[in-house]
Amino acid sequence: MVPSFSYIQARSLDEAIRYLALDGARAHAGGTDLLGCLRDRVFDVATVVSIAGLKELRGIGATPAGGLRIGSLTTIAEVARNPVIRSKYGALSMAASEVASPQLRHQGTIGGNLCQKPRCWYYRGEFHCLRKGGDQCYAVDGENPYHCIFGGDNCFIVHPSDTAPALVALQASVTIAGPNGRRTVAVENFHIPPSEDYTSETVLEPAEIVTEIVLPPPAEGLRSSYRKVRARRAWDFALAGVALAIVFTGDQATDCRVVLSGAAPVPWRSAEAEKVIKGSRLDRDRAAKAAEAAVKNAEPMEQNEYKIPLFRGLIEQQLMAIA
Amino acid sequence: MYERGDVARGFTEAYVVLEENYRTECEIHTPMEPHGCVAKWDGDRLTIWESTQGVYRIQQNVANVLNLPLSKVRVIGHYMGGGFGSKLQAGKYTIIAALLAKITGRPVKMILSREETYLTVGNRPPSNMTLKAGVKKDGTLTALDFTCTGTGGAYPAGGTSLVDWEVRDLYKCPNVRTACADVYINAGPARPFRAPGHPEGSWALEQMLDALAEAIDMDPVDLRLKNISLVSQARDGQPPYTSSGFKDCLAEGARAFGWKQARQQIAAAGKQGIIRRGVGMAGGHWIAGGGRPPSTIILKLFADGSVNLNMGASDIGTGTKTVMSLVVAEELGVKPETIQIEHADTGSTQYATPSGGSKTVPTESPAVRAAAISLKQQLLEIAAQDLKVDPSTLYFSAGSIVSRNDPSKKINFTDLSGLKKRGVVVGIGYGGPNPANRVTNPFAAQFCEVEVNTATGEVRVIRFLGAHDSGRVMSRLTYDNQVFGGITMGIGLATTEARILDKNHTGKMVNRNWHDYKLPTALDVPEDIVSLPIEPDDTEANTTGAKGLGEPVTIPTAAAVANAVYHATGVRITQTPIHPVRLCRLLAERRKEG
Ligand SMILES: Cc1cc2nc3c(=O)[nH]c(=O)nc-3n(C[C@H](O)[C@H](O)[C@H](O)COP(=O)(O)OP(=O)(O)OC[C@H]3O[C@@H](n4cnc5c(N)ncnc54)[C@H](O)[C@@H]3O)c2cc1C
Ligand code: SF4
Repeated sequence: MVPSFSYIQARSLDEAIRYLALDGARAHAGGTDLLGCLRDRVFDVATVVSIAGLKELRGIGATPAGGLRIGSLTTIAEVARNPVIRSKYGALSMAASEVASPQLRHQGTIGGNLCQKPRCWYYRGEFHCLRKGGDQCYAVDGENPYHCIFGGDNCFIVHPSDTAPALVALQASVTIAGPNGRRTVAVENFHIPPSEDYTSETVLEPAEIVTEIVLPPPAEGLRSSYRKVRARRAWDFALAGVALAIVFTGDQATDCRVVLSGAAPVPWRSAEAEKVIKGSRLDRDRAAKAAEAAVKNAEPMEQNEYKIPLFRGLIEQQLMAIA
Repeated sequence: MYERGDVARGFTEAYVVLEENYRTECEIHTPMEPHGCVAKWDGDRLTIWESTQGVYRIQQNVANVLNLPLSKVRVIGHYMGGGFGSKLQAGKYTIIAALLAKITGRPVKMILSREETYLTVGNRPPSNMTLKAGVKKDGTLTALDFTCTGTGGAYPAGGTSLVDWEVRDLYKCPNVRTACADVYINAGPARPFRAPGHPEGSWALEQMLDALAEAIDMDPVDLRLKNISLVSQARDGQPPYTSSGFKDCLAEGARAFGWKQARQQIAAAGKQGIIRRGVGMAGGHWIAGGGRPPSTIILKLFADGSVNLNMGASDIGTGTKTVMSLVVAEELGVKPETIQIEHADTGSTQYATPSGGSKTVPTESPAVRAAAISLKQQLLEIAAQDLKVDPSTLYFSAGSIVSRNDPSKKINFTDLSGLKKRGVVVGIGYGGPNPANRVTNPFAAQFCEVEVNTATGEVRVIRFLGAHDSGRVMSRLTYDNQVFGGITMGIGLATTEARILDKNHTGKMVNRNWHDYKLPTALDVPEDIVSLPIEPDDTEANTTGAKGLGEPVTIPTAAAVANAVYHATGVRITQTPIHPVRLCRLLAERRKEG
């Protein structure tokens, strides 16, 4: 059962920030993740502050620099079908349309998608695990087929977001508003690995709100894509996913980002794969080498070794598709 | 332990002997509506509204536990959002609600949460199976040796019950041995789950037949056609079936699916590229589905010619009410829409067994017909008096009764004096005994095509065909709906569903919600599903010729998918579910072996 809490509809960003500074306050955007967490008693909450009414956090528009600004309350469905995003930032459009189910895409927001809580079933279940303030990780020698193969350290979640790896690949940043004003953080640095702090997933301080996501203007020759493999064909998180953003000059890949989902506690940039691709003509052999490099340093757990051939096959396929 | 013939000798007679281990994972019923009830007392009389497959079973359970006379317990269950076998009995919650209602003097509602239903109200238990099989070069089966270890959870709850039935009974084989053993574990209890035991056994047997067919270079359909039995071999005295459409299910199904052409096309395409296609098929039959007494039906004809059908059976969403009104309409010559049905209420409808075992239509429909015939006989007698003719000269014609000798002697139902006087004529029908020394079983063959991404292990089921002999098709709409639903559920067993217990720490189920426990979604099920009814004329089974349908439709599905995946990839997946977690690893191992 959902515990009782007080509920506030913020009328302005400042008001939202003020209420969020209260002890045990949580922001509520679309509520698709928050309500599940409350029902499963993942954390306690005293006050739910709805930011859903803040019009300035909605909508998609051009930036003066020629990039794109996406308000954090923009729904995932809007992101998926936006024609500018579809033509210029293909990876984000593809990632958004792979999220969850049509209902969830219409209710869930892009800001919420970046801030969502992990899906580790111990964390969501009645287990007082490390990330919830307990003293052990149940996944490390438990049921871990869906856990990470990179960056585990002491907690072995995979970051659940599909849009985050696409945004990292596209070099997006988030604007954050809080009691001390505004700051900008690259999406690449927005999520925190457990080695740094296993109790929080993002760099957000108490009472901070993501107001928008900013995409830089697409480089000349940029091609991007996102693909996700899951256990069933809809309404499911990634077993393995890959966002690619590659700048081609002629048939040369002059710049590239390879970012994995379903791989690590944060969207996982594969420097190893990028190194193989950068400066090359992306032929079958290169693609295979890059895919091999991507999984070379993986540290699989007892039940998720399959992710190594899976990522290898997936990355190779996607590189061939984009070249 | 079951044995017939001489298994050791059977293996010596074989040209090829294969042995393989198989496993099916534990599935949870997951009906859309969770389990629950409302209980309310009026003095010493208890009324319970329950989401159930059988109100009389609940009445009996509750009366027993609370030590009440049956007459004081009224159970109503007009509508329910699915049960699949998990709602054949009262829950602890039923008793708790009744006791709380008594103490508080107020109605009490208890609905289990999804998590609670995942723990306490049953599952299809996991099966660990070994099958050794021998076949001659011409496809004749010589011996089957099957063992299964399973678990009903923490209670004796039919863990391995019926898992060996397909091996024992489906294909003609003189030498068969099966042994099943249950172990207790700290987990929720099993309950009947749509065709208990059968899809599990089929997973082993039908994959084994596929492998045998390949080993002797025979078409998988032909191998099955070679081994059809017209008697139930595993029953005492080996009684014949009242009808068997199994041969037609296989042959007609293969023709309609384009089985031979599909296999030729796939062979011609060769094993190239990352995306590979394959086709697979499997046969099956269901141990029950013949219907059986008791059943009591009351049919009332009112003065205005409208009809009330009164039956205790539940309609568990399968269209029982639709089918029964069609039987009445056929027998009485009235329009189905003039028939109102009262059902599933122990206070106002007649005793019925729960709707399970695919026996509801074959059990209830003959009793409905009998009630209609009884009603007709009474109407004939009244008409004979009114028209002053001998009743044997009268016949029914679209809502009226006419004399065969003198067509001018004709009277509408609504003008019958006896009906006007009494306001109602009541016909009663009872379910009769099943035919002696005969067995009535439904048969099935299913065919499917899959597409496998050999780099990622993703499987897409492209199309399915279900050829089913369930006797007469009573209503095409509800019939096809069962076929589509059964195949959908089978695809769940094959590709997505598994209960996962935290085995190293707590034994708790870790995937106890709808997104971690993966039911197939609309995208996991092909758009292209064909239902091909095979209708042998079964006059022996009962007076409507109907056999059970709801369970056989899900029996061969999972094995057919596994066979198709093998055909596409050359990888035999012996453990459910077939999703990238498993398939990707197997494909990688295979590549390594070259
Ligand atoms: C069954 C299911 C399946 C799913 N499958 C997928 C999937 O396949 N891929 C995927 O990527 N996601 C998936 N999701 C996650 C879903 O996309 C997110 O729940 C959704 O995007 C969250 O958006 P929301 O607006 O509903 O967030 P809310 O539920 O309102 O908030 C989520 C969290 O973020 C915080 N928050 C929200 N907005 C802000 C903000 N602007 N600033 C600071 N903090 C904020 C909230 O306090 C809360 O902790 C799934 C969710 C469910 C329930
Ligand atoms: S992986 Fe992290 S969230 Fe999951 S049980 Fe371990 S510590 Fe908890």
